[in-house]
Amino acid sequence: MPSSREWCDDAGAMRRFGRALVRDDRFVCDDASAIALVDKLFRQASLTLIDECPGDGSSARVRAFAQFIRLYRRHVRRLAAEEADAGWGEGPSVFARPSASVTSGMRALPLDLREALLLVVLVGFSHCEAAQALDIPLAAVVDRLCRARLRLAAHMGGPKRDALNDTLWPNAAHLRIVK
Amino acid sequence: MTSRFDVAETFAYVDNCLTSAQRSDFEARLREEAELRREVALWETQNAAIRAAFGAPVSARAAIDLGRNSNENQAVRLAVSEVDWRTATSLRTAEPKVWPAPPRAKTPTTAQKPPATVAKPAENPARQTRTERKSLRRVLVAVLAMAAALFFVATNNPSWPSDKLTAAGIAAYRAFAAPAAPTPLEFRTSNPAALTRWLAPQFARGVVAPELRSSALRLIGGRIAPGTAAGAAFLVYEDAHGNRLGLLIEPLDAPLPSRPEIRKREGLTVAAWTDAGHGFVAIGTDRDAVVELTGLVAAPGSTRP
Repeated sequence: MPSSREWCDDAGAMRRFGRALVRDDRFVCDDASAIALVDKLFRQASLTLIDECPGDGSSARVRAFAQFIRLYRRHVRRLAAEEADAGWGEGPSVFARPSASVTSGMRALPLDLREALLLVVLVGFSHCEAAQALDIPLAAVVDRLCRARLRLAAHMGGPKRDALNDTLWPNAAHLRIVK
Repeated sequence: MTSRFDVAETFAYVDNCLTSAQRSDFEARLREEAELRREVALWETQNAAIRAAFGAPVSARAAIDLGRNSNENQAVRLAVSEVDWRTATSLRTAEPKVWPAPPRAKTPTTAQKPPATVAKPAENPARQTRTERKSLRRVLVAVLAMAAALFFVATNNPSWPSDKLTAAGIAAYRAFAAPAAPTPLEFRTSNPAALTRWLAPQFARGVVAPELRSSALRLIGGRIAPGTAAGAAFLVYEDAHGNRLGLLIEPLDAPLPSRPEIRKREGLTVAAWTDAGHGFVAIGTDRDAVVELTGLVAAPGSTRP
């Protein structure tokens, strides 16, 4: 049984991760809403963890973050469906201000890239742990990390993404991104 | 040429996912390949910026220290801990619990009396005296140690993150001011007042770009760089020979003022000191220019917000 201090560290890390994850200038546009949503998701994740059977070999910490991410994805899907029903469409947010800061760059990242980057950099998960938490293969985690870092570097005025892509994958010029 | 495998390995190194043997191999390659070093520095800087932007503790993953001989990440990894199920259970059982009433005695006369206290046998007086002496000795040692520590703090330089600040200054210089720096400046200006205005909204406690009374050093611009615990202002100057100098200014938690300490680290001259609630690092390749910059910035009244 871990000490309460470890649990506090985990809870703090999860709240920090949650606030960085949910603040996206699309559905959550201010810090107060982000904190409220994170508190709600954190509580739900804590409750559902009790019923989970820890027989898959993953640590409780990874399972807690995985559960948090699943709940947030469900929340985003519901909001996106409501938005589509209302016919608002997915346009650029009026709250998104052009800025070269890290936070604005992080908000501009797609959710899957943001999750991977924050789990590894902010929470301190290894790549394998991040793969477990996101329920994807290890290669996909590395790929997402690479795309997220390139996008963030380009957003912050660093090396251009195309130039870096050419450096990192010189033989992949014939490939194109299929969504 | 960097291959895709190298990218995965680079990320694994940057994210501290390599075993010690793999890390040693990678560091051997790092010493040989400047391009790989540049890439690692770029991603380490980005990681530090992300952690600083979202308030992650520095101890979770230390910033890269290119000034060290060995480039291993000495940060303490977060322990993989298990969920405290008692906490989770207490969250779930939020509804008031009905406790069963305590059993009543049928008649007051048959109620159980509290058990009589058993008198402890008296201890040996000589042994008791020895124990008292031991504890008194321990207390004396503790008091003396505390007094020595207080004396050391009062007479010497107060403990402030000199090494961390120096490491942050070196990383920022290599990333933003060195000739082969991968990331440009965010705000280009030669006017210190304009730079101060640009920096003002980005720090809770003001950071002032110092007005240098010297024609030899020219301000080029500035940007936000990772500091020891949060973001820091990084100012870039140029001397008459075109050599670049960096000045890192980070608001710290009320450090006592300290004098500049000039050191040589990996071919760079670094001066670090604290003043007016800020930590300062002047850094460059030319020692004379760094000493001049330090003298100008550390002059009283030049950098007080």
